[in-house]
Amino acid sequence: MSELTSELQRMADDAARMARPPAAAEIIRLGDLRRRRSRTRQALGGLSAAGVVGAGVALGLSAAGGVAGGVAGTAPTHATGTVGHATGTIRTAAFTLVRNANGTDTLTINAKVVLEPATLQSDLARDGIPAMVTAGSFCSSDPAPAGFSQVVSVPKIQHGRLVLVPDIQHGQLPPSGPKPRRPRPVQDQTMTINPAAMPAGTELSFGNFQVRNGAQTDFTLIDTSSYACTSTAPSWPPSSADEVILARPATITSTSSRA
Amino acid sequence: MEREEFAGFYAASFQRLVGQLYAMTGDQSEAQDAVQEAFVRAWAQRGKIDRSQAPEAWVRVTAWRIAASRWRRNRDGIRLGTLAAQPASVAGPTPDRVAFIDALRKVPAEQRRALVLYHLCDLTVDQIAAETGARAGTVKARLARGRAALAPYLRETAAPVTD
Repeated sequence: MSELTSELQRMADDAARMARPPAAAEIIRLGDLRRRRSRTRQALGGLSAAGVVGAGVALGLSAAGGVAGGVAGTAPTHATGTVGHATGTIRTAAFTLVRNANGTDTLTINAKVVLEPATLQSDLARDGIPAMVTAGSFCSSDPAPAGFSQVVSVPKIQHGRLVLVPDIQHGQLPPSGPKPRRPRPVQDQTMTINPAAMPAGTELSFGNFQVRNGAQTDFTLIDTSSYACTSTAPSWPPSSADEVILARPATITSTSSRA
Repeated sequence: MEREEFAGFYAASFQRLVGQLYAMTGDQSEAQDAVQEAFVRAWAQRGKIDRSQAPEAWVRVTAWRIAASRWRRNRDGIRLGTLAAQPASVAGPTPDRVAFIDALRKVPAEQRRALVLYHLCDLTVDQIAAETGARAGTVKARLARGRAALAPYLRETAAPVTD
């Protein structure tokens, strides 16, 4: 054995000893999730070809893996090494995902940047959060699975800025009355996700839409066995008070227009 | 490939592949991340694994592509790709070894990959050519240049490349 071979072997052996493989079951679970997503995208692709306006936008972004035109470049910094175990931060231009020591994740979305769906989806999956992230379309279940408020918590007011979200913490929409003012520019919005609270057979659905000078992200909990996707961004506030409270997706809206 | 067979394959090869990717990338956490993601894809696309007849090579190639893709996406990709991260903390490395590891990190990524595939994975030049998509002559040139760059850090003269 040459000295070069020996040196390389020692390096590799040291690294192999330090490697901490996640459980095979976790890898298989994530693989199954990825396979299901891929099939869903293919199915949606068929719908798009059939004339569902906009659904193809999301597919194009996903399939392109972040190189599609118009998507902000991402510079991920992966500080976590294992699936669903280590704390750490993943930072891209569009979002920051922090794995907390208590098992929750804090997701901060830069509302000025269009999300790259595949990146967010895979990074959420890495932290054990099954999610379907789309751009230009949004998927939801009717009825929505219960438990959304245990899975996601979003502060209503962040740093004094107006944030258009229902009071999902208590399962209530904001009081009826005059429509809120036009939202002021919002830089970042944060939510905390508790994957342990996600009921079996559910996923988080994120839909990212380009709006005037910004991006809008809607999110909700879906039943993986029954959901539908639309290319229309959910509107908020609701048109009637009879809207199903927890079935409504929470919405973060940002535009650069002045109030 | 069935679930149990895959789990066995994963358990048997994960750490070895992380070691190989570490030697290729010079970054322990990146190597582990890339190999994990490659295994996730392997299970999701297990039909391809079955058809490839060489599952470990499939995962290694996929992990390399994942790591390379991250370099490209990263603004500091060139720096990461050539200088890489801090050395893995190894108990009591000798000064010679530290110098060797540093030197290896400065070898261009494709040369490093060829060196690892040839010396660590025991592939032939033709097999490396097939795995990397380069011509055999290119592989030989990469090996020669990589070994020349490392020669000052090795006591012996490396044996010539054989097919």
